[in-house]
Amino acid sequence: MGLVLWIAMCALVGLGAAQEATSGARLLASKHILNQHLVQKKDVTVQYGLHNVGDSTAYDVHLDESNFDKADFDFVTGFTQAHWDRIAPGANVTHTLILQPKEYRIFNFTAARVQYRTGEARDAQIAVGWTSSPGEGQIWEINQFNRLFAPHYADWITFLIMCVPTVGIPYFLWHTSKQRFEISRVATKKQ
Amino acid sequence: MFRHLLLAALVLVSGLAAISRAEDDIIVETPEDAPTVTAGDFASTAQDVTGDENVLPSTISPDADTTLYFTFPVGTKDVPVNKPVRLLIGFRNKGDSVFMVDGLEASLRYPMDWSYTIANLTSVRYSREVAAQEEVTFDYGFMLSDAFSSRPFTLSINLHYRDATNRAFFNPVFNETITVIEVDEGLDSQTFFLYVMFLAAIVLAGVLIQQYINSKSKKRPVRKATQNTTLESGTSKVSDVDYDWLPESTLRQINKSPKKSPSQTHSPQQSPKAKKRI
Repeated sequence: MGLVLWIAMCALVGLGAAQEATSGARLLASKHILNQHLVQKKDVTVQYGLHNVGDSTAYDVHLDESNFDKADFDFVTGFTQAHWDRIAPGANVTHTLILQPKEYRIFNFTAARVQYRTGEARDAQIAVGWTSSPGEGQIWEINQFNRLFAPHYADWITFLIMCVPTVGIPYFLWHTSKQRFEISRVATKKQ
Repeated sequence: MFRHLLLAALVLVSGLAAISRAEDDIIVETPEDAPTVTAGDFASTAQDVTGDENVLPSTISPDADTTLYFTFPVGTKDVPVNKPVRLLIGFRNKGDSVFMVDGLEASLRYPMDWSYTIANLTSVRYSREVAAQEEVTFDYGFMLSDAFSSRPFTLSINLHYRDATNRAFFNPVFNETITVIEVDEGLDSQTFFLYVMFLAAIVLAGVLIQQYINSKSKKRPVRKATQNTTLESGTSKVSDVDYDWLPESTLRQINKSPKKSPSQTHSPQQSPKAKKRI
């Protein structure tokens, strides 16, 4: 009786251990460019999302972005490296990076590196992963972008100023002749 | 004896808890359960891993582990129309050699018969290398039009990849029934213009009522015989002539030289200046 119980216990524990080996912390990391258009010298927003779809907490999570060179980009807000102590199972974290490209070209947005520990112990297994890569994107030249999307205030004001003689001169002539035939209303009331 | 029984009961409970795990929209491919299939052998894989209706046999590499997670909509199998559905696919390389993930293909199939494809969704080419003992995340999204609303479909997403020996595999990352629903947005153009029409109808009714009341009120006061009946006299009466149409400059000239003006000779009391409204 005792032996049967002991065997059953070992089997269950063994099965349980095997199950725990496959279930653990699992991070899915996404990298998205939130812009509709990528324009030279204008902000490009990069959003990183880390989702823990595993069963246990991910510890010591590092996000390391080396895609953007300091020579090619100006960093406005955010850091290229982020760290979280733990991400609970079912939880997700986001990190945002805003930068400005210096030159216009086709840029290949590649993945950022993610590293985390699957257990709380210092010597637990370290998992290395990569985020999703958004792919190649065209960074527009600022002049070309402004030609299509800028409000063109100066152009409109110039146009209105140039319209003034064409509209103003006939109006002035009409107004002059109208004034001669006009009967003022104040005098009407008096009479 | 009792202590043995208690220990056994505790172990049983913990073991059962370890075995039974509810997984709704997270599919974890466990290669330990899947039989290893060689390239030419398709007949043996009759039982699939997830337990759903899966007609086609799949070739899964034992070194590959895939996970799927919907970032929009989260935690539900109801997919709204006209909204981008986003999902993340994690690919873990548990082996020692590099994998090349070629791409992903997705399709909507008839729930009763998997082999009947209703729509193929855009397939994406990733062409990404996954080094040994590393994991990579892939991003995918799709949008369904109104034509698909209010129907269930089997969404089938397959990830195609090759190992170092160039042997092709594909993982059915997602193969479950989804229901496409139409989300009732608060204000769309149709409802907005309906409200505008109602407002216009109310305004029209108001105008009609106002006209009716006005016409009623006008008829009520009795018409008295006007004592000052104006008779048309033609041009015989010079005092009735109205000089308003003349420009000011001409009127001034006339007033300066009163003898010359024709009105002065006939009726000196009535001057155009009196009629002129300053």
